[in-house]
Amino acid sequence: MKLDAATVGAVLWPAFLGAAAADGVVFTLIDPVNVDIFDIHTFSRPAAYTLGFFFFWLVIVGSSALSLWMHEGATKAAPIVLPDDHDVPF
Amino acid sequence: MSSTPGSEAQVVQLYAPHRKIYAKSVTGRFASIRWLMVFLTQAIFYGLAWLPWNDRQAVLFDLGTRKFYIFGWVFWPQDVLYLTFILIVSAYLLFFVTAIAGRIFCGYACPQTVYTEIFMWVEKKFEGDRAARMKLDQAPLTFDKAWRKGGKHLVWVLIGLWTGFTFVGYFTPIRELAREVLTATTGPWETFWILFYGFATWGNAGFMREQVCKYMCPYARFQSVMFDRDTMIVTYDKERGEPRGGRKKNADAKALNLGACVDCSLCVQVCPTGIDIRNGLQYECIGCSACIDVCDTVMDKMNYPRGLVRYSTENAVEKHWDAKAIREHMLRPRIIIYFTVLLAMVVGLLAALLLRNPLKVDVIRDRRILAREVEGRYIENVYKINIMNTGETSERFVLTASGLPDIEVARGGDVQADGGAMTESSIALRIPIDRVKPGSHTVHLKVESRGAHKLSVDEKTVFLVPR
Repeated sequence: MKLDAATVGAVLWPAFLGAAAADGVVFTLIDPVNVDIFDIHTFSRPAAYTLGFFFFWLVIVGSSALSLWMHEGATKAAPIVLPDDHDVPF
Repeated sequence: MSSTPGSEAQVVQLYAPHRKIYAKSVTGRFASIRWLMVFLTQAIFYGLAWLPWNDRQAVLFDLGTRKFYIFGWVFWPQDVLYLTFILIVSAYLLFFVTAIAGRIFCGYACPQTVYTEIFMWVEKKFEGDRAARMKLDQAPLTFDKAWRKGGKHLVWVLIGLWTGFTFVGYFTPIRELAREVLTATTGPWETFWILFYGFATWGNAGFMREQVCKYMCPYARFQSVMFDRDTMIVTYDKERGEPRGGRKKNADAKALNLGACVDCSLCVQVCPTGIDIRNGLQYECIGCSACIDVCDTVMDKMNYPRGLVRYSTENAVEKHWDAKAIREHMLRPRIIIYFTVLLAMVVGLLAALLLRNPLKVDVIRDRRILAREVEGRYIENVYKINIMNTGETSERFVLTASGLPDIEVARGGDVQADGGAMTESSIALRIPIDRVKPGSHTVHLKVESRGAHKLSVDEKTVFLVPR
């Protein structure tokens, strides 16, 4: 996978927009002060919004990078060529 | 979109190696309009956050208390659909404007354009115009270069920080935030977002510039679907301009077999995205009209009529339409359909906002207390009741029940609820024993305000009668 600025940008930027949307929707529906993680009340609202945003960003970046990587692998893989006079052994 | 002949098979390289663009500054009609838009949009962005409204900030998306204020309206998380709808209407308005007038949003009002304009103005103050900047970048590091570059970055960083501060000031009350900044007591998250947004402003307007429009902006990629041959675009009149070529000021262009284009290349030098408008409409063109302004000055100097590069439509240039004909073709089915849908959405949104009930009630049967017999004569059920008074004033609410014979409110039928807050209360309903058979029954609870605002909400809940 090329690691030039354009590729990095193409992965980071749409993920940023996606993370903003996901953060907005999730924390509209869920008030983080009402959420306990393992029975411990952990996050203030600003902390939850911010960490949530970066969590979503990280996940989407991971997914996009993986898509890009697998897609490149798929298009580069050599096609399977059978010999012209292949014998079927049975 | 048109393209130059023979370029159909050409592969568009979206990620060409970046070369720095030194856009020459430009003055003229459209540049003045852009500066007007810079002042207008920034007066709103930097100013609106400070505008008070009923002892609070007029426009505040208060994330800390989960309440959004837009002038007289208070939105709760439950109202998210209204906000979504406002965003959809804004996007649709953008599509409508784009279908008529092309990328005027990009060229005049997009924050990317506006901040780039401001940052380029600062750059010009410190480093001079195009030629001087190119020379400065080539020159070895001297004291002169250092202070020019350093000064520019200092001002850029300050603008970036002020922008970041203002941005955060829309999500947390800005006056408190200002006090915190002045006393260096901002919370970690606020500090982080001010710096993050400040950094983004500095990077986007100082360095990325046209690359944001070319590589990052999704709108730039799909806006061409709103275009047709009657959409206003920045066009070069090839018929009038070609064959291009240099000539003396009073030379007879006809005798020299030349068109109106003097091939001065100024239209290329002023272009913030570094394209040549004479190659036809290109996806990089953000419709900023810098090339129109600069070409007009050249045409004036040559005593040629203005408008070799002008705002026009593909059809108009091809068929030699005048302004009247262009206007007549503006009302085409696409525009009428876009407008009708837009109008319906705006009317729907306004109606929904005006008819919005500022009272929301949530009734939950208290599961800790079973239905019970009281005073030997009644069956009683207890409910938790949350009254969300999203209005701005405190109201007294009276609760009444219906749906079962002789049902009455035993306790908690009178609740005072503050404005902009949720009031938790409890209510006990009872019915005489033996009037209703055992099981669960649907009852209605009506919450009515006694104040000047006639607010009321009907909520359904369940009344249990034990065996």
